[in-house]
Amino acid sequence: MIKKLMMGAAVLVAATTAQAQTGTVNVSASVVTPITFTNVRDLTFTNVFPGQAARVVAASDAGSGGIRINGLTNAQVAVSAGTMSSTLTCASCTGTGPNSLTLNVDGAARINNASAAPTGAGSSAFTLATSASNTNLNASGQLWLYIGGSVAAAANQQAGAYTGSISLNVSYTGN
Amino acid sequence: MLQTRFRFPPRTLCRSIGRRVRGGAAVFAIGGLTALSPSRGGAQSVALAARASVVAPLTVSPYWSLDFRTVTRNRRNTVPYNDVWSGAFSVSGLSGAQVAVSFALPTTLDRLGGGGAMPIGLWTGCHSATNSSGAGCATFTPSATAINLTLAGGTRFFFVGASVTPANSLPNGSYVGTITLQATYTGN
Repeated sequence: MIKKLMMGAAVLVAATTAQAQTGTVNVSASVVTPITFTNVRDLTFTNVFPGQAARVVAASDAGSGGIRINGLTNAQVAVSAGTMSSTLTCASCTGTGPNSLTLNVDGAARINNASAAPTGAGSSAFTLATSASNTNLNASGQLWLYIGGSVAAAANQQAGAYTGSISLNVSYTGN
Repeated sequence: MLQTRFRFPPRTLCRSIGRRVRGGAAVFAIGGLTALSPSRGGAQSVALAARASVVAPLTVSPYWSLDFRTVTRNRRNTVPYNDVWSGAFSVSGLSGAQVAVSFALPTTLDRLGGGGAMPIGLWTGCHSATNSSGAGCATFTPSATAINLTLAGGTRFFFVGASVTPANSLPNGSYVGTITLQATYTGN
């Protein structure tokens, strides 16, 4: 009986060894430095006179809006605007005239991959639009972007401080 | 007879497993991770703040009428800009802003009730940061041609004089006209 059991066991062992198969599956993961933003300055229009020609701030002007894009070293990024116009509103203004302004974003933006300045060393022109334009972060994973625009106040515009924002989108291109 | 419960996988199953292994994507050794170049994506959005300061509109306030009082026929009757009877306006707005100021001036004063017109001209004027046409008031000639000046302190005062020469045939009565001052920001 024992002999039969041992034979059966031997057969079992032999069968298990003979049937063993191995295989490998691949595991993948990518670690990417997330894109973040550091505010440099707001886009600012001072002394907008009602009923006058539009107040224009160029990307190279002191009043242009600035932001630093942070991400992976030397990575290429695609930059676009959500829209090329937005609305500024005045919450504290009073009167009978309009209390909102249309901000038209200037597509002639500026970038700098060397320092926080819209002009000078490292700076260049950059086309900002709702369709993305590509550029590269620097060796520190940084890029400065400066944006201008224009606003015009109606002759009966309510006087006061108007605020709003411009939406920007940035993503890695994979290059 | 002892029957085993272990069997070799069928041939068809072996072939399908092999295909899946050969068709695998990005490759890593099991248990290790390697950072790849960034894949497409990772889109982030941000709102860049924008601000605008809209200036209050200019305020033009007339407060003195140019008054010749009783005039003499066949004579030039003059009220200088620095006379107590000169006309006066004030213009208020953003301190330090440049404004363009011009005047719409009558050529005659018309008799109330009709029947006569008295020529008026030889306009004179001065403007000052204070409500005084004395020393320091800058002279100018009021006209439809704008002059640019700075609203130092946010307010500027304008004083206007002129001369009338009533004809001998002009009937008695009260004669009136209108002087209009127009001020606009230049944007500077």
